[in-house]
This record gives sequence, structure tokens and C-alpha cells, in this order.
Amino acid sequence: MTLRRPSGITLAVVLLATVFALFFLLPFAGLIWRAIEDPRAREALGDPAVGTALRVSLITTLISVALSLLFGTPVAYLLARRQIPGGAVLDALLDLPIVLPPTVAGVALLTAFGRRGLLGEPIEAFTGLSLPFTMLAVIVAQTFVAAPLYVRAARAGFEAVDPELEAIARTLGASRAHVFRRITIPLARGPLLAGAVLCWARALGELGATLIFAGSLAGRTQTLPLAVIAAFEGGPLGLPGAVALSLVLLAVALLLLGTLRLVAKRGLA
Amino acid sequence: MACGGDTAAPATPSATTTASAATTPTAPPVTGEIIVSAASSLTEAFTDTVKAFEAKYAGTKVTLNFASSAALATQVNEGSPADVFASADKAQMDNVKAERKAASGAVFALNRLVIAKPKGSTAVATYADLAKPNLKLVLAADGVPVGNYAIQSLAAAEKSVAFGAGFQTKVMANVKSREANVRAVLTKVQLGEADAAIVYSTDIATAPEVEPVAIPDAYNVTAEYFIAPLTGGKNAKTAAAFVAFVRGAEGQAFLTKRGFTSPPR
Repeated sequence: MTLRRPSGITLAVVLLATVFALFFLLPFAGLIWRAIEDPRAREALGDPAVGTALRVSLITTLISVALSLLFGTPVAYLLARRQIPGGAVLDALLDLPIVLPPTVAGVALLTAFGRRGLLGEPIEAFTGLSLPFTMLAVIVAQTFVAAPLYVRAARAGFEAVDPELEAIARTLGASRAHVFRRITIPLARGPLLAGAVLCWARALGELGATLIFAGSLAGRTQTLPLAVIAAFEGGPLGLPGAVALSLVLLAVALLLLGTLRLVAKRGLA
Repeated sequence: MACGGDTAAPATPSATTTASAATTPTAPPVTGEIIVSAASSLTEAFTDTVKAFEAKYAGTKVTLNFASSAALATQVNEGSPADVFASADKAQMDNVKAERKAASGAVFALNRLVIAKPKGSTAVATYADLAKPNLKLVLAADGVPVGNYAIQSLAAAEKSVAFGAGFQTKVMANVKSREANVRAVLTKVQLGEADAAIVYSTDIATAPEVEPVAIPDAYNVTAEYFIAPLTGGKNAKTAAAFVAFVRGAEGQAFLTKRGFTSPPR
């Protein structure tokens, strides 16, 4: 290509792209600027309450991701490989939590697992136990909104694995479980890992469903995003605390994003 | 009706004031839009008040923004546009004044605390029952006025002979969630998720699924509501008129209708 004077179109594209980039850059710059400029925000970073929220977030999200992998992997495989009865319905059902606002998920979870819910009421009648306000409720909310992201990715991963390879391994005498473990999973590893990271990120950012279904109590159900809200809405940490908590979330998000990029590269190689 | 036209006389623009307004451009008429940021417990009373205010001053449009006073104070201090702030406690009005977003604040209503429980529930019958083991209690978050008032009430009980040391600790051990504002607290009781919550006595009437359990006067707290025009507002004249309206006879009637008490004059 020869060098030409930039046309009007080129200039417009560059201008739009710059505005767009700034739009995404400025909020993060603002957050970091506020943390540097306001000594109270830096102090708040060392507040035990920030550590408490981080701990609740890590415990709940790791369990949510583990549950998503445990239950989601077989579902994804079935959806990818077999015509199962109700498969199309299940597929659509799994899209709903991705599309719906999390607050709707929270209300829906209450109507099912709340103390007056379809399942929650008989469970409490027989066992005396109820789910809302517990750490388990946080995990349920996170799994509900985040697991579908993993199932989506895992399903696409399994679909990309050539069924011929699995069939050949079977003819060579390998058991179904052995084929799944040694052939299918390794071949779909990239998408599976990417799905797990996305699922984790979504669980970490979960706010609306948790607030409605699990409530907000420091050390039990108050995850990082909930702690940001509590701090912003006049809690003892105040606005500097909200900035500090946001920075912690930003750091964790960047870490996850880095992992995702790494996985994507490995997956291609 | 308590909000009769006769009480409106002082603020109604008479022929003479309109004439002077025409000659002195520094006194704009009460018109145009204002944003009123108000504590969520004021939802019903202020909705009524605004209807009457807009009817009285043709050409005005009042947008109501309800949240916890703590959240509203943060929003105001961060520069979110509002013309009037109505806070459910002094602390949040002071927060706004400290940032010079308001110059003054006047008490315009009083409220009391009450225990809310799901209708028909037998888990809580007295204030002392809040300390019963395994009770699911919900309070508003720290900093949210009704949350602070509730802690003040528990602290008062803790100091009394009747309840004694350890009462507050036992009650706090029952707290399952600290919600963002009083209406979110009430919702947990409406849903039956919480066995009890501490809210304002005025909130009970807004939720048919809920019934009150009294908090004895000795341990109850009087909530003082403050109102002030905001210095960053774009429509000072209308903001001042709204504040005067709320503090005047008509505004007070809408508040007392919803169970608030007028402050002593």
C-alpha cells in the first residue's frame, strides 16, 4: 500500500475510537486517581473490613465455580453430544440467567428457596433450616447467575472435539470414562478453562441476586461488591472505603483477565 | 380537610408581588423543575406533598429521589444534582453541611421506632424477644439513620435493669442482614424471610403483610427529620418554596396523616 493523506473517513474512525477508548479508560483512571489523592482511601485498603469482604468473596466464588464445574460439565457434554429429551428447553433455560437482570434472579430464587418458597418452605418445615441470609445462599445466587456462562463455553468446547477420535479410542478398548478423561477433556481444555474463568469473574461481580436472596452481613454474606454498596451508602468505611474495595475488585478482575488471556493463547497453541 | 386553601395565603403570589417580580428580575417566580432527595421513609408522605405543591404552584415539577439518607448524602456530596435534601437524621444533614452543600437544616418531622414482624408470626411478642436464640432479625446498615436509631435503642435497653448487660450482644447475634434502607429492611419482613426488624412506626402502614410490636417508650428513640435547600441547586426559589411548604401547615398535614409527628414550634 502506498502512503496517502488520511481521508475524512480515517479521521472519523480514529476520533470515534479515541473517544470510545477514553470512555473506558477514564473511570478506572478516576478510581486510581482517587486512591492516590485521598489518603483515607489508602488507609481503608488496610481496614480489616476489606479483608473480611475479600475472604467472603473468595470462599463463596471458589465454591460456586467448583459447583459449576461439577454439575455443568456433564450437562455441557450431554448438550453437545446427544439429542437428550428436553435438551432444547434446558438450553434456553440456561440462557435465561445470562440475559435476565440479576435482581430478577434474586426474586426468583426467593420464590423457590426462600422461607415461603416452593422448596424452601417444606425444607424448613422438616429440618428447621432456611437458606436466605447464609453463606450457602450467596453460593446459590452466584452459581445461578454464573454457571450458565461455563456451560455455554464448555458445550462449544465439546462440540469442537471430533467425535471420531472418541469412537476410535472406544474401538481400541478404552472405557467411556477413560475416553472422556484422556481424550475429550484434554482436547476441550482451552474452552473449559476459559469458561471457568468467565464463570468465576461473573460470580465475583454478583450483586443484585445476592443482595435480594442472601442479604448483606459482614463476614457472612457481604461479598466485595456488597461491601462497596454498604460503604457507598453511608457505612463506616465511607466513600474512601468504597474506592478501596473497588480497587481490590479491580485487581482481582485484572488477574482473572490475565489468566483468561493466557488460557486463550494456550488453547490456540 | 387539613390542607385547606386558607392556610396557603402567605405564599400565594398576590397581584402586588407579581408586579414587583416584574420590576425586580432578582426575584424569579416559583416555577420550573426541582429535584428533592428524600429519606425512603418519606415515600408516601412526600408523594402526597408533591402533588399538592405542584397543584398550588402551577408550572412547577418536583422529581422525588428516595434512598437512605446516608446514600443521598453521599450522592449530594459527590455532586449529583438536587435542590432539596430531606434527611431522616441530623448526622446525614451534618455530612452535607460539612461539604457546604447546605447552609441550614430545620427539623420538620418526628418519628418513632417499632418492631415489624410478619402478620400472624408468633416468634416475637415483646421487645425482649429480640434476644431469643435463633431469631432472624434484620436491621438497616451502619450509617443508615434507622440502623443507627435501632442501635441507640438497643444500647438504651442494655443500660436498663429490665434487660441488662448482654441484651444488645444477644440481639446483635440474631442480626442476619444489614439492609441499605428502611424499605429494604421492611421487605425482608414482608417476604417472611426475617422474623423481625426494627423500622419506623410510619413504615408499618405501607406493608399489609406486616404488623407492629411496640418498643417501650423508655428504650425508644425519636427520629428527627431535617430538611434544607441545597446550595448547588439550580432553582433556589422553588426549592425554598418547597421547604416552606413542607414545614407549613399543608405539608405538616400530609406528614401527620402518614403517622409522623410535627416538631414543637
